[in-house]
Amino acid sequence: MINLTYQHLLHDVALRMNALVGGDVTAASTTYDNEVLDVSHFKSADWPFNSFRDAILMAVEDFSWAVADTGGHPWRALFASTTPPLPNHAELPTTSSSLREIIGIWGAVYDSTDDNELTEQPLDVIRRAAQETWRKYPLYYFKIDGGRITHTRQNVTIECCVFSQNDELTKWASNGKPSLPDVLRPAIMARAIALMTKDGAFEGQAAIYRGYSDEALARIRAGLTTLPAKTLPSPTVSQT
Amino acid sequence: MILLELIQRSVAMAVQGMDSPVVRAAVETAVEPLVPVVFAQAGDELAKTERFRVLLRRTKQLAVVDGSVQLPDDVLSVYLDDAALIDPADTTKRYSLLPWHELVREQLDARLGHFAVEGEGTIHIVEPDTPYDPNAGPTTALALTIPCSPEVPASITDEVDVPAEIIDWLIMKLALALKPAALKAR
Repeated sequence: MINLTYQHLLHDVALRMNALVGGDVTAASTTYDNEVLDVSHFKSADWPFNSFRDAILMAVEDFSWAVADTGGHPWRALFASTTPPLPNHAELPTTSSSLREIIGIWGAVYDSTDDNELTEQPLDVIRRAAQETWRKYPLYYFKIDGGRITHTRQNVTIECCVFSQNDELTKWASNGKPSLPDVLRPAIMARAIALMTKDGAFEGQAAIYRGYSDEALARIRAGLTTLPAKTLPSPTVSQT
Repeated sequence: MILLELIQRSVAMAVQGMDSPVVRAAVETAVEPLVPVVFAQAGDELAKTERFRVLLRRTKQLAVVDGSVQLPDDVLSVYLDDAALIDPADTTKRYSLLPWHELVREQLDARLGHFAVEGEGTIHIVEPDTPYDPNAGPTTALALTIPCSPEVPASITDEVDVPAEIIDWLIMKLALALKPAALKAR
């Protein structure tokens, strides 16, 4: 079983873009079979080695955003974090308690002391409850409105998704695993290839890959965890 | 059972069959002002039945000063006939309830202590073998056992200090009191 790493994605993209060193199939295979590809394995004059890295990281970011934007998507757990404790009427933070940038839509809201989940209620109900300081029976209500959260508890935390380019770059450098499930390998690859297009170069192929990755992104945004059928061009080992 | 659980059970009963965030919020925001009302109602209604009146009996510690003391608010003074007053320091002493005019006018039995209520709010105590004196009396700690309204706990996590039968009654009455709020929000 493959545990998807950034090097797997680099192999996939480089092979399909005919970027690996090797004048024939045997030589290309020798290059391809290196577990870790580096600049010495690349021959393309059009795309510098690091542009492959950047395109793959951007593709990973695109899919991370799609997951984070989709409420209730099971893959949100891969980016899960929480905000710091927020008092009533606090401004919504842009970074999580782990100081990572928050992306996507907000998740559930919890009392930061007893961990009970709050339910969303109209603002006037919450405001009235907050003013009634004689209450002893605990009410667990919140409303996110206008960049602030209003609630009936002392402090709450909000579930959120986070993404850090620096973290992903660190994983790239150590051939780590992207913050996405293995099943997204073809979609990430297709997205990265689509992002590699340059004016007058590789435009036709990029459009095909973009179509596939756009469909994969649309499926994620619809809450699905399955990818479209693979109708991508077969990998082409260097012919030159 | 703690007050929080009692309220939660009443809320669950009130929203049964029509639970939704809107209905639940309507019931949850309405419940707390109804708690003291239902507790007081329990005292009024249940004490009328002898079986329940026994269950409502509580012992109140009274700090008597110069022969008199104010009754606590939750004491159902109409049932003073059912009360027992003792001196925890000398449990052989007996105190007998008298109508106010008998305490102040009649010759008292020297073997017994006596007490009477003035204006339904203040108890006057006369020790055994002592005549009534409007300007003097014992300064002591006594224990009065008498039917009382169930007391609303000070904290939401405090025990509701009544027997289980009365707890069930409180839950049911509180749920019934909440039904209009639930039905309106539905």
